[in-house]
Amino acid sequence: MSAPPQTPASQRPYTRSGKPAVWVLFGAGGTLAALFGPVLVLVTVVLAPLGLLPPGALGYARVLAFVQWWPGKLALLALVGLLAFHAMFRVYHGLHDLGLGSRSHRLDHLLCYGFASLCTAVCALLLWRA
Amino acid sequence: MSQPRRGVPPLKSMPQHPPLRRGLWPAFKAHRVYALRELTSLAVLYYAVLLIVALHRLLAGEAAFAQFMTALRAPGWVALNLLALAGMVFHAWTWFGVLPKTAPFLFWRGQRVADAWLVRGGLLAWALCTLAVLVFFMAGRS
Repeated sequence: MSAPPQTPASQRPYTRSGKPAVWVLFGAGGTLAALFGPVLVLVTVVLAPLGLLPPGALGYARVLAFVQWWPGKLALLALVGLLAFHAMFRVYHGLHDLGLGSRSHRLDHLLCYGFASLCTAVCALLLWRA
Repeated sequence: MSQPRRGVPPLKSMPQHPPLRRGLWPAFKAHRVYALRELTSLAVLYYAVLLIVALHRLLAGEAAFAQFMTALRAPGWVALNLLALAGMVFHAWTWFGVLPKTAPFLFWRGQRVADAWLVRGGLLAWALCTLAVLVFFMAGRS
């Protein structure tokens, strides 16, 4: 398989790049993960299962009420979706750093951002049914 | 077309530059830190997926949710989640560390905010968010 001949950028037809959109999702997810990620992981998946939170703090009734409350739904969807896009952005670039990317990038984009979109869609569907 | 002239001499070549290595272990510390930082994205991804699973279990009913929470008490899960926590902390630390390169210039009274203060501001915001969430969950609840 040979590489397609490269035409200089100035002679190629102008196409809009999807990079800004992906960058916004990456940046927003990174900021969210940096500000709230550590404490949320600590509280929700370390302290809560070990019973180190006050009783009821992350109990069934309270969490269910949260995901049935529309600001709660939006917050959880934003958290899951943005974290997924942030992580898949880095996975995508990490795979390219390791030389594992495809030449056209199209398949890699589809797989990485497709997976992030899938996570967001599944979360939205679950929240819709909550 | 003439090349623009610069007033600085060309950069010196580095004959003692260590040879680049092929392989998964990068030769330079900065590259290792970079690779580790990119790896923390897996912790972020893990948490996003775990939240989806938790939501699914929550909607399956009270018993399923309790079972899910009990499963997370197993030593293996606790170890994995502590690893994810460490990854998240490193991610946050590096995220605020690169703020001078990623954030737009901020100005305060006509002066550019110094890089060090940008980082300190980010770390302060991180501390405040952490404290707020901890107080929210730790405050006594009957």
